Amino acid sequence: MSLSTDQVSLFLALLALLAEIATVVLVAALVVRAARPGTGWVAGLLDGVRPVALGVAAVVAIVSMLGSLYYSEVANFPPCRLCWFQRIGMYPLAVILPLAAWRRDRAVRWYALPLAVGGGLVSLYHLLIERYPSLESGSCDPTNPCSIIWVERFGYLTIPTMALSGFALIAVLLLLPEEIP
Amino acid sequence: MSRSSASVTRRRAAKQRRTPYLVIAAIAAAVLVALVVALAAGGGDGDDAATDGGGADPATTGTVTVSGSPLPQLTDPADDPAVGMTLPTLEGHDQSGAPMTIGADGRPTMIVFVAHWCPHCQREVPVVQQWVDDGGLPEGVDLVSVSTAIDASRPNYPPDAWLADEGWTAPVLVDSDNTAAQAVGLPAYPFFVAIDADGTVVLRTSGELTTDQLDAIASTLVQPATGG
Repeated sequence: MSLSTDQVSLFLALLALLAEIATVVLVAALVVRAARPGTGWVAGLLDGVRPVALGVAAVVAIVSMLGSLYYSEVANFPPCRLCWFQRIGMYPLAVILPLAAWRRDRAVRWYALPLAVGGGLVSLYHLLIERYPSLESGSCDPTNPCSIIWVERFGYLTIPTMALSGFALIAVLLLLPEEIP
Repeated sequence: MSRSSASVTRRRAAKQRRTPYLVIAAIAAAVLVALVVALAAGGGDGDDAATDGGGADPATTGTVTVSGSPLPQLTDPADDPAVGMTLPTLEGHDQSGAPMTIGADGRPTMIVFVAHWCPHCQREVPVVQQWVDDGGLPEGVDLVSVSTAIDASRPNYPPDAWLADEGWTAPVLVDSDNTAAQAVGLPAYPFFVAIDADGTVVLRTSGELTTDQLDAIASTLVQPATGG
């Protein structure tokens, strides 16, 4: 039995949704922690996530890379110009984050965060172009304009939106503060 | 340090050791649920239909025969070397398979090239149709269209369903492999060509046009007829 593109897209979209929920929860926890230090659930959550943060970020990067490779190599959706820029951000993360997680090297944030933030900004621009094609140009390039929406789930989750979800979660996981003894 | 505070520290440390496993378990469970939902809901329908349709549906498959010299590719609408040249005759069939020809037929004609997957075309088609419905197309001027770059793997396929949804009334020449698009020097979608009654190119332009711009193109086609 082989999976259809629809099924894979739904799976990837659900993962992106999970990443978005996780990002919101972590950002909320960091905000609460800054505003009211010592809040029990926040400390518990951050204590639980911190040791696995690099590993989870590595898994997010690898899954994102595999998802993009699935779309271009299996589903035959040709990557547009902006897709390539996002790949430049994500693919190195899929290599350096697993190594950093293995070595427990939290200093990787200095190298990984610029990739995640840069890639995320391109994703943001790409999804704006999908919604407002005129931002790119007034017409469609005959080969492969970035304004084509190849996949859309739940009314908003397009491929660059999924990429942005991945970049955002990776960035938040890298930004988690060091443990306070 | 007292014995009780030492035991609290121990218990806290034990709890801290456990929580990462809880986080991993929660992530694994959520991913598993996503996978099960995708397997159950996807069903493997959808994209198979496009390929299974097979055969040669005239609405989505058609190669246009070009006679006459092709126009150079448009680079600058304000300085277009094709203006004054004769449009090559484009012969093919419409979406129902009936023969259709675009070329000099004694009536000035506006030709619009659209690709079903192009978001700018998706936005322009309703604008043009509204303009036609509001009586924007002058008496004596024809509007025809070319459905080009048809690709079942791309979004908003098939084009005939899309154009029907938009209430598109202009005749549609099917140019699935871009033969006609290349012959008229199309640089981008949507693409407009205006020819006079003799088939001479009056104007070419690409991109989304407003109704005012459509009016302007149509009026250039009307003036020579009334003037001469």
